[in-house]
Amino acid sequence: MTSQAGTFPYMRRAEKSKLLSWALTTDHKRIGILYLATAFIFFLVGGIEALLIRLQLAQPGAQVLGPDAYNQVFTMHGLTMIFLGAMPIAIGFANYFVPLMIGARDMVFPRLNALSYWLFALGGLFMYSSFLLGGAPDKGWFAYAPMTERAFSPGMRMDFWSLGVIGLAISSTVGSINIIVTIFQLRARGMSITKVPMFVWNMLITSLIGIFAFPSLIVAAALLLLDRQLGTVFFNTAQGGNAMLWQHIFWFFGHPEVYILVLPAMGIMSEVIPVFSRKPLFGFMAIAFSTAAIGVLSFTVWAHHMFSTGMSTISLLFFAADSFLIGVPTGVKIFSWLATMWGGKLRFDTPLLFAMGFIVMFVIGGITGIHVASVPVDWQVTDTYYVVGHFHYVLFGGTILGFLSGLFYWFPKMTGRMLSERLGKLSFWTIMVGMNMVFFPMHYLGLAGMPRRIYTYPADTGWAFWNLFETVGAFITALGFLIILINLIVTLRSRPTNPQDPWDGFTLEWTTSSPPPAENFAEIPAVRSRRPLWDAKHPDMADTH
Amino acid sequence: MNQATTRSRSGMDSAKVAMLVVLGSETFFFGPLVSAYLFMRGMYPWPLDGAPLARLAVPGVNTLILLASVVTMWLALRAIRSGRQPMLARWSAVTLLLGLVFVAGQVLEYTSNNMTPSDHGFGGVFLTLMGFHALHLLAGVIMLALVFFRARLGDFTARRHVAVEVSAWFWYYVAAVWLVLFSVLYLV
Amino acid sequence: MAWRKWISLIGFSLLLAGCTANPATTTFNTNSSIAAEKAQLFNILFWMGVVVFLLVVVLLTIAVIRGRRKPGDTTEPFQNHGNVRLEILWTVIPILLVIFIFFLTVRTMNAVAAPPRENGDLTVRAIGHRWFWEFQYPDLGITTANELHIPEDTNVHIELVSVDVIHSFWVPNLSGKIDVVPGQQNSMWIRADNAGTFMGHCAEFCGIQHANMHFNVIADDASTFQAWVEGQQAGLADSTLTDLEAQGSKIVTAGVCAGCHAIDGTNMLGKTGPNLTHLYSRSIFAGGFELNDENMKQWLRDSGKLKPGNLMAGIRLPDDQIEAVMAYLKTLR
Ligand code: HEA
Ligand code: HEA
Ligand code: HEC
Ligand code: CUA
Ligand SMILES: [Cu+2]
Repeated sequence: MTSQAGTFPYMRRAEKSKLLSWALTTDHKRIGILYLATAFIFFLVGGIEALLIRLQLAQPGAQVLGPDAYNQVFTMHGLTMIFLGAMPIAIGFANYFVPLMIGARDMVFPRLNALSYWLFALGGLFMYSSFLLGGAPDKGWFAYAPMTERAFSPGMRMDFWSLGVIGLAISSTVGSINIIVTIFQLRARGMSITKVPMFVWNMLITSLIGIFAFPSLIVAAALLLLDRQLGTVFFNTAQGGNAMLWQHIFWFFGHPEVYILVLPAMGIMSEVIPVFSRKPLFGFMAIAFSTAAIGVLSFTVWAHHMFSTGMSTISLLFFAADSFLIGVPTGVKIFSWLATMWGGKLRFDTPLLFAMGFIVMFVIGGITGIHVASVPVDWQVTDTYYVVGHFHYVLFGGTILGFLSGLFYWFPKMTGRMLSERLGKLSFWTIMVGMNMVFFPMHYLGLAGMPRRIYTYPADTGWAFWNLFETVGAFITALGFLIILINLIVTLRSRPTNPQDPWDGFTLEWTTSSPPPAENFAEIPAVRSRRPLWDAKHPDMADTH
Repeated sequence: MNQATTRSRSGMDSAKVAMLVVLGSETFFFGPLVSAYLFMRGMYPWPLDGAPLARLAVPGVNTLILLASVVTMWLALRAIRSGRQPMLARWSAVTLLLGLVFVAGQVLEYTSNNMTPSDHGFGGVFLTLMGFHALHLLAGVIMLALVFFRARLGDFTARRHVAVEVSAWFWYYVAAVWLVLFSVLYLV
Repeated sequence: MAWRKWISLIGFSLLLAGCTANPATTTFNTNSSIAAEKAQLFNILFWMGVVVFLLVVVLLTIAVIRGRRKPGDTTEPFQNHGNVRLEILWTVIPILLVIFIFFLTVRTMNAVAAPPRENGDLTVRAIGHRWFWEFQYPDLGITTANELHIPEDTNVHIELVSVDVIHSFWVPNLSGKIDVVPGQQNSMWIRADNAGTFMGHCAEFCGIQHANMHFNVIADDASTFQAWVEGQQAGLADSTLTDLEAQGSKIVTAGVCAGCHAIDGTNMLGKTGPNLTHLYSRSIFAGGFELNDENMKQWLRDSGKLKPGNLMAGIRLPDDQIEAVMAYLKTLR
């Protein structure tokens, strides 16, 4: 696999045509790589936007970004990280590894697969083109009405938001449908739905959440577009529209979305931890059920984002109780992972390090999630940096660390090259230090009264010190990612060693060469347990008896 | 999507599974739309301009047309199940035309009541609910057009006609959605 | 109240020693039963969280220590697929914890629920504008901005009104926030147990100047408050203006200002901007800027420099008028 085609500024014709073949590909592995590469670039852009945010907030009254620029940057940061970074990375891993892990030769609808990639890539570029055309969306990633109406958002910015989001939502829906049908239809002989690898199961649940959540986002964005372009009045409070309507439709998508963002990473956890503990996943069925439970519950808690909007006490209590409940299945997963490591013989390679980082960081984010789910507490901390702290611990400490674990785990399979362990461990520790320096003080600042989404703050609030501290942390985090970037580039330029099964893995993808051949499997393996490869290696202690 | 007919663990054709998933997803598209309408309706005297609701003529006729199209769709399906392609072509054409008539009726309804998107709620709601429904119907029309031409080319047999089955499911679904919209907008 | 001290002492702040924030804007330094109840609830949940977190970290650490391989050991560990008893255990215990947390939540919600209105209570209408707060006292016939005066030890019922987009009314020392939603009547209540000045912020993103939508709540003892009320109710002392002031008055009342501002006893009835009648009885203006000559000069010369994008940004007074206008504005006490 030579994905550097194109990274060279001057291409010979051969490389040009190679590039073309990539552009026209319908091969699930290539589309997976395209997804991952594109999404990682968007992630870096979102990260650079984050650095701008941090520079502006480093001290009171800073002049790095004006208010208008700041609002565009933090909005695009949120949109980029969620829609162009985290979600496509998950779909990328799914594209590459779901077929390999279930013993299929490709996704079930390869052309649809290419379509959803190009919708994503073009949708992202479309959103970013707004910077050149009168400015980017600047009303926050959840674009509360009526601020987004013509009266308060003249110009094209919110139209870019609507159209871009609709495009990305359609792309993700198509992708989800493809993943679901692939998992239903193309599993290898003997692989019953309860024998699929946990990553595959998580992608199934994630995609199911997706097909039910994204339509709601499309509705919200479409109605907003109609309000702005045709003069309907759904959210136009000045003419009898309703501001709460927007929040209900949006968060009915918005909350499930956050589990769409974390479940794939949890799936990766459930692959990495067993392999590097040399044990089967502890309580497979319990984890599978809690994943499904999270999927169902995620559709019943949306209004916990609206505690301060003046809802009736009864609905406040309902949504609070439901939100607490989600802690239970999530806890089951955390403890099952710990039990998987318990009594194992651990291999502390980079994938496991990031996985352990996930456990610790995610629990912090989960617990603060429980805090904000408690209505009276939320009345104090909602729309403050406490919430910003919460969701970065789950999104960065959860989703992103999980993806990094997956990157180091699967990179050899995708490229035939091992990432440097030394650089890997270095980047791990740098990122851990950095992210905690950025995100932990946010909880304090929130409780100290600092609202979110402010481009500046008065000196007499005394928020300056921890903000500066966070900014330093952000740059340390950036350094960590720079190391990863270097690691990637250096490794991709080195000559492949094509290790077929470097981690002594359990699942089918490791039975193929690295990178796997076109069509993946000469003949489709028959499966009898959840760890076919383990059984093959250890007939004496195979899962099957 | 001929890959759709590869080895399948569910014993069902992939195209059908996909269509079921799509319809599930669609339900969560119309769901919020209808809820949005009921939400607004719960807040304001409804309709804010009683007129459009009074006349059931056009929508009534339209409903009958759509129900008729469901029957013809079913006839088309039955035809190909027993391998009679000319029948399939004929009935799918009829269904398709009925669909177009329905959409025309919707346009008539919208214009004849000279509603505008902004006249409180209703115009906008009508435009939105009916508009999105009409778009789905047109999607169904395109599917049927493909079915029609492939039938003329003789693509289908009694055993291989997934496209027809899938199009039929979609058509039934869109008709069912209309019944919901009709009752929330005109009856209750 | 000892336990309130206890809260502000221990609690989250302890962990980040050297906490630097101004007490007037934190949620720890509570000055009302409402905020205190919430701080206490947070405190309990916080420590529960610490326990859960430590549990996880300790388990992980032990697993890691026990899991190190002896050098040269290539054997595989015992293959343990699960243990129903354990799985039930770590499902049931969290469920119990969750039930307990829910119980605490309900209890606190009752504790902070708005008490019935009694006479002696004060009613205030807090009106969110882009980007400043207007305050009306319906019963007292007072309209002011940026500074909310309340009597200490009195229940204050706040009606939340928005004239444009969603804002959110928040005074961390006194209470949590409730959003100010256009087309919807929200309300909340606050009370200050002791006199003092407390910082307030708009907490819902409301556009380009959301960041400069602060306000102050000033709780006075009964007599001071009464004095303030009378000061606000009294019309402007029509003491004869000096030439400069008169000149300024002409510019303001006859000029564009009237389109957006109101000054009692003049022809000015504008509603877009703050009511200027008693402007110089306040210590901050325009959503949080200190009301001093330098800032006010800057504001009149080019308010967009001080507060980019604010709705008055288009209005720039020529330098030769500023002195006069300021002289006049200063008579508005
Ligand atoms: C990866 C994404 C992700 C995840 C997984 C979560 C998980 C959770 N979130 Fe979070 N959340 C976000 C992303 C996420 N969130 C984002 C992006 C926002 C802000 C959106 C915006 O406003 O911009 C947000 C905002 C948000 C709010 C609104 C805050 C506000 O705006 O005022 C609330 C309120 O209830 C909430 C609650 C929760 C809860 C209860 C969980 C639970 O799922 C957590 C469960 C996990 C645990 C509890 C830890 C592990 C469990 C154990 C160790 C067992 C023992 C624990 C107990 C017994 C409790 N979240
Ligand atoms: C997956 C989601 C995700 C991730 C990973 C992050 C990562 C980060 N986020 Fe973000 N964030 C959000 C999702 C995410 N965020 C969301 C949803 C919001 C809400 C938006 C809204 O309110 O609407 C938000 C808001 C938000 C705010 C609040 C803004 C405000 O309310 O005013 C802040 C403030 O500090 C912040 C900071 C950061 C920082 C410092 C990082 C860092 O961890 C980033 C670290 C990564 C990098 C620094 C990239 C590495 C870059 C390089 C290596 C450069 C070199 C490369 C080249 C030159 C090619 N984020
Ligand atoms: C286009 C409407 C408009 C006009 C005309 C206008 N103002 Fe304003 N003014 C505002 C708004 C809006 C604010 C509040 C700005 C903010 O805080 O974001 C304001 C704030 C002020 C303030 C601060 C008041 C306070 O308590 O915060 C002063 C003083 C002021 N204006 C003086 C003037 C003078 C003098 C003129 C005439 C030369 C004038 N304004 C003309 C809209 C206007
Ligand atoms: Cu008003 Cu933020
Ligand atoms: Cu949520």
